[in-house]
Amino acid sequence: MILTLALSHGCNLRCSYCYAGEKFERRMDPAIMGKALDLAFSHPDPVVRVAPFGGEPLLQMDLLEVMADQAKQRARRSGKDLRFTMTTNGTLLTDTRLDLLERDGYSVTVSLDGDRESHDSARVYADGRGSFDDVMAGMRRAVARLGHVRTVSVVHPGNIERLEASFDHVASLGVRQMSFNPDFDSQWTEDRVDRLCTFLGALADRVIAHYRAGNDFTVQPFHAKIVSRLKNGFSCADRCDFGCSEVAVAPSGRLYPCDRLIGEDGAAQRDVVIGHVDGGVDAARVSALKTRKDTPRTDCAGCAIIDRCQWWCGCVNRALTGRVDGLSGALCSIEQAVVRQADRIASTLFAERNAPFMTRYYVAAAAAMQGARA
Amino acid sequence: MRRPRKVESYPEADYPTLARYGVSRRRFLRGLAAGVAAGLGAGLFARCTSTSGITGSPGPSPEVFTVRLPGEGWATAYLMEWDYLTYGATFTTHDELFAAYFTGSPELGLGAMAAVLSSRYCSDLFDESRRAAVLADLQAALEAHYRESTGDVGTWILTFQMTVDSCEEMAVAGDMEVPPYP
Repeated sequence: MILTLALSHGCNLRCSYCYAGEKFERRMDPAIMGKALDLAFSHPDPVVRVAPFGGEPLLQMDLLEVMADQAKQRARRSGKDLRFTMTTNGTLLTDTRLDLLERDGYSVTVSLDGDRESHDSARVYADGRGSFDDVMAGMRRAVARLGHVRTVSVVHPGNIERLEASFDHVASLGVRQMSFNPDFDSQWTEDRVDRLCTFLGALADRVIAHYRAGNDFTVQPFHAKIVSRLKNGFSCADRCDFGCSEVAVAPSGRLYPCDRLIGEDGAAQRDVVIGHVDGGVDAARVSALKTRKDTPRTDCAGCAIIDRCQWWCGCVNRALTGRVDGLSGALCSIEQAVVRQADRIASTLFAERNAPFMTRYYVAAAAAMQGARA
Repeated sequence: MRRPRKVESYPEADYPTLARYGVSRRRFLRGLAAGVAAGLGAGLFARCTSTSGITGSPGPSPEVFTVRLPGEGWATAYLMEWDYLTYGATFTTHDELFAAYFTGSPELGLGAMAAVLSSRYCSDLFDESRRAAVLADLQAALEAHYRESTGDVGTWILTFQMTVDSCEEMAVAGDMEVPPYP
């Protein structure tokens, strides 16, 4: 069970592509937080992942403390496994804040859009100043304290050409779990899609080179596609289930199937509200949305890679088409390019029996091979 | 605006699926395995209820526990962890050859996973109303797997039970969360 708590709509950055919409101060009341946690701990899943979100969650240290107390109480009572995860813009990773993240064993992801030029093209403060230097300082402190952080980098039409440089920069930091994710709220014209697909090929070259240099890491979106091959396609459990075992809670208490759908929690989001902490999840509403998004599209019938495509991601579909069950030609092209490049990466490294690749993706085999060599 | 365009054909990738590679990624989690075995000795079935504190790693042995139950034949308990699915399976059989076939081999793991994956209803294992059907499919798949391998025809599994501890898809050798978007 994944519970995302949007602690507030406030943020110290004004990223140009932010899907959370306008920034304003509406904080989550602790009573709402408690009801949301009750909801999560009533789910049969033995693991509860709590993900404070926003806005920037590290602006709400008092709420993070309240949240930790409330969640730990419920974990003790239920015997469930409690884990905390956080995605932060990285500008506020001070030693004091890291105390809390370290204490509660947070899995931390920092939003870092690559090198300075790429990052500062979108991730800026309200006065327009780039945040790159502050994020880098925060990253260094976080790695020193937590040992490991993940990164998520947004790829938008303005920084496509920086993909290789961005990968090089993030990789140089020793990050082992990186994501380069398209900003699906952008206008993906034909030209932009083609450029993205071209640079995905260049990114794949960089990934191969980084493995050849002996590094152990994963890069999204390629990682998911490699896994989908290893598993013979995505299974239904891979799909975000849109409110069944993942719920995002707005400061108002309204429930959404995913954090990226909360937005400003206003009229524009009403079509994807799935309940309120006071009344719980509206199962009929969830079922209806899920059925819509998971119904195979007629246009996809017979597609040779449909089992490896994420056509079922309601959030991406809605961002691109306005409907959770929409079908976007841009997504179609991007998914195809990602699958092809992921297969090129994996085929190349498998043929070379690249040690980090084999260890990561064929663990048992690699262990056996090491034993044989010994 | 670009229109969707399906892929008419796509070549087989030049790197194998896990199943085809012939290496089961199952891991027998020793701590829990001991618990399962103890449960078997005491009362035939045991349930694994938690993976907390277990740090299983790919290891040569022991990956399968077999317990001889006087008057009952064999009981075999497995606890498996694929990177995205952890489950325990116990079955009883009067047929020693059947037990021997699966004991110490990856076949049960592969056969079971093939059944689970082909069912595409991993989450159904958490759904009490649908679980029985999935388990029946899984049991049938194991029987069929044995039948195809040995040519023997019959019913070997007397009882079968499976407990799913977690179902966290996609996390290969790490805990990368999904989906990768946005």
